[in-house]
Amino acid sequence: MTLRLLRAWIAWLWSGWSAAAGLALLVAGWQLAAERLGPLLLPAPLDAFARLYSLLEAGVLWPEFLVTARRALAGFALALGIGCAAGVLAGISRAGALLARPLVTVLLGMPPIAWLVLALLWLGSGDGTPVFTVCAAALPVVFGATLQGMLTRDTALSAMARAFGLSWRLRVIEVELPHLLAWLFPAATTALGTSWKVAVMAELLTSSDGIGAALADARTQLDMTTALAWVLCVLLALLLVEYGLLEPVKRELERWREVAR
Amino acid sequence: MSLLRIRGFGHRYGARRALAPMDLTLERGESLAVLGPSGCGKSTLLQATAGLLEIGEGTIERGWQNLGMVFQEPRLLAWRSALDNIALGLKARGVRRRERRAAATALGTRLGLSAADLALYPAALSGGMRSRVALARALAIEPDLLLLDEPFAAIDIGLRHELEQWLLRECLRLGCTMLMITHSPREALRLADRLLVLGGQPGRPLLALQPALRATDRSERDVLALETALLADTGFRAAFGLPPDERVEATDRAPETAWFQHHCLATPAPDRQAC
Repeated sequence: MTLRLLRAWIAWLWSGWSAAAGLALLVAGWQLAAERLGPLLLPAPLDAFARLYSLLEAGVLWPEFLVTARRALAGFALALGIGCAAGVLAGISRAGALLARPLVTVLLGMPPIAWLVLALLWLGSGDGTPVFTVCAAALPVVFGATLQGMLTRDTALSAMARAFGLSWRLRVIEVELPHLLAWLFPAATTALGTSWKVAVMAELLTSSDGIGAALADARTQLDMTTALAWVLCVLLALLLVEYGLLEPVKRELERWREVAR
Repeated sequence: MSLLRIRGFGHRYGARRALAPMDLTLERGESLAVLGPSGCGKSTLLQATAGLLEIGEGTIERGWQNLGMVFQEPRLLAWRSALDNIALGLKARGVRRRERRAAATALGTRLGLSAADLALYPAALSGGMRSRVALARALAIEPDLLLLDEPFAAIDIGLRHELEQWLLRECLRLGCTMLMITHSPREALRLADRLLVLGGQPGRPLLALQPALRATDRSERDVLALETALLADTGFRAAFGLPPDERVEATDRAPETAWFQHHCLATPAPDRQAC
C-alpha cells in the first residue's frame, strides 16, 4: 500500500506540468501588472520571491509560519473530529438529519469574521481565538459532507455485508467508510484551504504573532513587497499540501472511481 | 434436524400484510425454488431466512453454519477488486489474506475470470462478469445454505444457462442446500428439486410441486417438457393471474400424472381460479 501510494505520488507530480504552466501564466500576468502599476502599488513577482527568501534567511519566516500552521491545523483537526462525529450521529437517525440540515445552512452562512468577534470576546487574544474561528469556519463543511455521506449510504450493500456475516467492525471498514471517505475527502480539502485563510485573517485582526500579524505589520509600514512575500508563503504552503499530499492520496483512494469515468 | 424450519412466519410492512403465516422445511442437500408473481412475499421470505428482516410473527430455525447469498443485482463493493469481492466472505471468516486470495483466484478461474479480470474494479467489468463475481463470492465460503434472489434475471440466456450449469455442479460438489426465488419456471426447473408457488395478496403458498427427477438428473429436454406441463397447469396459471389456456389439450392438464407430485396447498385469491 505504501509503495503504491509513493508510486502514485510520483506519477501525480510528473503530471503536474500543466498546473505549473497555469501558475507560470499567473506570474507572467502579475509581472505585466507590476510593470504598469509600479513597485509602490504592486511589486514585481521576482522582488516578492526575493523578499520571501530573505525572510527565510533571516529566520523570520519559519517561526511565524509554524505559529499559523499550528493554529490552522489545530482548528482544522478539531473541525474534522467534531464535524465527522456529529455528521455520523446526525446521519444515523432521520430525525437527527432533519434537525441538522438547517443548522448546516446557518453555520455555512455565518461569516468567519462574526465568529472572530465572538471568539475575541470569549477567548482573548491567544491561540484560542484563531483556533476557534478556524474550527467554526471549517466545521459546517465537514459536517455537511459527512451527513450527506451518511444519508446516501447504500443499504443494499450493508444488507449484503450482514448476509455474509461481516462483523460490525469489518462492515464499517469495508462498506461504510469507503463510501463516507468519497464524500469527506473533497470537503476536507476545501476545509483545509478555508482553515489557512481564516487563520491568517484571525491573526491579522487579533494576534501579535503568526503570518497574519506579520501581514498587519507590513501593512502599517506600507511595505507591499513584504506583504506579498507573506501572501506567497501562505499560497505556496497551500499548494504544497493540496497538490503534493492531498490530491495524490485522494487519487489513490478513489482509483476505483477513475475506471468508471 | 432440518437445515431450515419455518413455522408460522408471516410479515407486515406497516399496515400492509405482505406474507400470510406459512410453514416451510428444507432438508440438507435439497434445493427448493419459490416461484410467484411480483409482490407475493418471495423476497420477504428470503430476507427473513438470511436474517436481514426482523421477525415479528412465527419462528425460523436456522440449522446452518455458513450462509451464502446471491442477490438480484451483484451488490459488489465498487472500491474493491473483483478478487477482493470474491474473498469478502472469507475475510469475514478470518481466513488469512494469502489463503483467501488463492481460494478466490481458483474459484474465479473456474468461473471463467482471468487473472487480469480479477484485478479489475467492478466498474470496469461487464454485467456478465459482475454476475460471475457475485456468484463466486457466495460459493467461496463453501456455504451449507445458498440463498438465491433471482440471481440471473438480468443476464442473457447463453450466460444464464452457463452459470446455472456451473452452479448445479458446484452445489453438488459442495453438497450445499439451495433456496432460490425466481419468476422464471424454467430457471426453477433447471436448478431446484422441488418448487413452491406463492401467490395472492397477501402472499401464501398455493402449490407444492415435486418433479420425478432431481434437478441434477434432468436433461434440457426434461426441463422444457416440465415447463410446458407447468404452464398448462390451471393452479399454476391462477397463481400468476394467467387466463386458462384454451389451446392446451385436456390430457396435458394434469401434469401431476406425468411429471409431478402435485399438492394444492391453499385456495388462490378470490379473483383467481382454484387449482
